[in-house]
Amino acid sequence: VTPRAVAPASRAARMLICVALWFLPAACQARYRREWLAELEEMEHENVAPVLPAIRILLGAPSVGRTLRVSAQQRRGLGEQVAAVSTYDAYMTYSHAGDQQLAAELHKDLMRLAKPWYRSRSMRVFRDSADIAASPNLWASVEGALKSSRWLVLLASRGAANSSWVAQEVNCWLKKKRPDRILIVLTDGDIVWDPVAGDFNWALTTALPTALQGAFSNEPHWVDIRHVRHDPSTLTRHDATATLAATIRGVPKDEIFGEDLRQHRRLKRIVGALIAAVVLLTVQWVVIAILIMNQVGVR
Amino acid sequence: MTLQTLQVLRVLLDEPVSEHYGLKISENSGLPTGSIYPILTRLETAGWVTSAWEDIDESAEGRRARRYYQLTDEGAESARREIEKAQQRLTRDFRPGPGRLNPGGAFA
Repeated sequence: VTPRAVAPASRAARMLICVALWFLPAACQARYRREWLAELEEMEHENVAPVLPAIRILLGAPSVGRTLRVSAQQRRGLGEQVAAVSTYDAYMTYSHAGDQQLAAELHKDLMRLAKPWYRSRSMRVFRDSADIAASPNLWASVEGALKSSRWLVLLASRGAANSSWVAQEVNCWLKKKRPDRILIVLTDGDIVWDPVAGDFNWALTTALPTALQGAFSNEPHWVDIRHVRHDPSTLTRHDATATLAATIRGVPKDEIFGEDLRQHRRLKRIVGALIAAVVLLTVQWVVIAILIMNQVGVR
Repeated sequence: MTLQTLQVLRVLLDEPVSEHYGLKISENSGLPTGSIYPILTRLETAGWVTSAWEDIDESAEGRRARRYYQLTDEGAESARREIEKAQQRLTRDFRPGPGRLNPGGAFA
């Protein structure tokens, strides 16, 4: 949205909305932020002062938060069957030979992006070498994780195209889940779509396992990160990671970046406040110690 | 069920296929803007209402996408029932009787 087309809501109203969001569960904050800010901006367009409605939103926020939390608790209480439906947000399949480091970096970044400071991760992503710790029944663990994931992130490369393990995981996914829930990340080789055949051009495509032959009826989107393959550490806060995180979490990409920045600033503020408190306490104790020493000296 | 909730349900029920969003629901129900979110959240978590983002190109439209609310089939059924019950209660409570004030203003 261009800055001219949507005038920013007044600073005070925005601040009130930010405070209101504190009352909501973390998982719902992005949705309500977007909805409430959209409402305030529309009011501004109609020349209605947004501060009073923002105050009303703030006053209602504890009730909204309570309702959402109770509803989430009830959903959790529905039993193991429902709870086990989506244990992981995404499952990552890749060639261990070629993309081990890249997969580890992407895995770390996806879980770190827009992560609130008080949580260990922003989403749950299954990556086999990270999540299957010496499992006695490897395939059973893999199958269980695949079944309980909402998305399959396929790191497409020449290595992945020739990997029997990747092919097995993709086949398993296609048997149980929808192909449009596969997110392709191109790390090496080529992907060419043939619009006439309505399938990949398998003569030119070198990065995908043939298990995907005929799986898509429309051209799927893929994220190209071939340029960072030589240095996976450059993936940090990368556009591609944000694209994947936004798709998996079902929110716009700018929201992911905005949220990440907010969390980063919040963490900096907290660290700053802690350092200031420690410095203040130290100074206080030093002053007290000097005063006591002076008293002892006087006597 | 509160009067405010009934007002919101009335708006959603009057035009079941219309695109209802926060600001419009407030305007149509006569409730202050920004005050209806606790009601909408309760209705949504109870399964009476569903919501989804408007599918627009925000740059082309020059505004952000709205969150549209719609009654579910079950929600519409329950809403009708609740509104009828409320109307019956009102009719019963304000029925003219001995010693009560008639609509015209005279005592019966």
